[in-house]
Amino acid sequence: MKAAAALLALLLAGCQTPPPPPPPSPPEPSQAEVVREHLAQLLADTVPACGAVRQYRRQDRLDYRVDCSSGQAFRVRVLADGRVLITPLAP
Amino acid sequence: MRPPRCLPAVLLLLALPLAGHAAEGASPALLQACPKVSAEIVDLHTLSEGLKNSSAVGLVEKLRLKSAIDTLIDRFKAYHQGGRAYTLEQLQEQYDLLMMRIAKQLQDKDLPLHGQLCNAWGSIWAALQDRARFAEMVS
Repeated sequence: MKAAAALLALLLAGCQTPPPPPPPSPPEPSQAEVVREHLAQLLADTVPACGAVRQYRRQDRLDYRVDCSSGQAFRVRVLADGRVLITPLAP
Repeated sequence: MRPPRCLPAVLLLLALPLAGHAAEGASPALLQACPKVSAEIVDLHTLSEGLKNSSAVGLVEKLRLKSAIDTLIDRFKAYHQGGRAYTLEQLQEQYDLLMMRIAKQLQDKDLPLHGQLCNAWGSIWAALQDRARFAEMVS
């Protein structure tokens, strides 16, 4: 009887064990990594050969120069009517 | 009870038709020729259904954009709770790039929704950066 009570107590104690803390969330990517990823996605449909974005320069709020890992360069900007325009540049 | 994971994205997308009335004149200076859109043509239900059924955006891209929207919303939550992983200026750049991705998907394919997004570009940003209005949006 005592053994059963002890076992029951152990089981109940196990039920009350707090869950382990959640694993630490991965660190946020840098701003440059975030921007590169967005620009790569923007270019992906129009210029599949661009690949990864090697570097970029923000020329205005909605205007970027993007250099692709393929060696190509593009200007990515938003026109006054909200359309996104991608034009090739001299590398 | 936890809200569904898609709630932030839905809230952001549903805010499109409302945001234009909330902060007029807040659009980026460049966006001065957005197409005229009638506020009456889209209500919350219509917009929600329109996005769900829109053929302008493929399924894979819809999932990518939803994930990107959720991520940005989470970063704004962290920012408004005192997190400093990104500055407000950096979050604005991330927001602009996300809007560019959505706009590129919609242009030429879903003109009413693209026009609506263009008109609401600045006012959605105004709502995101304002702690009180952001809290209302995600509560």
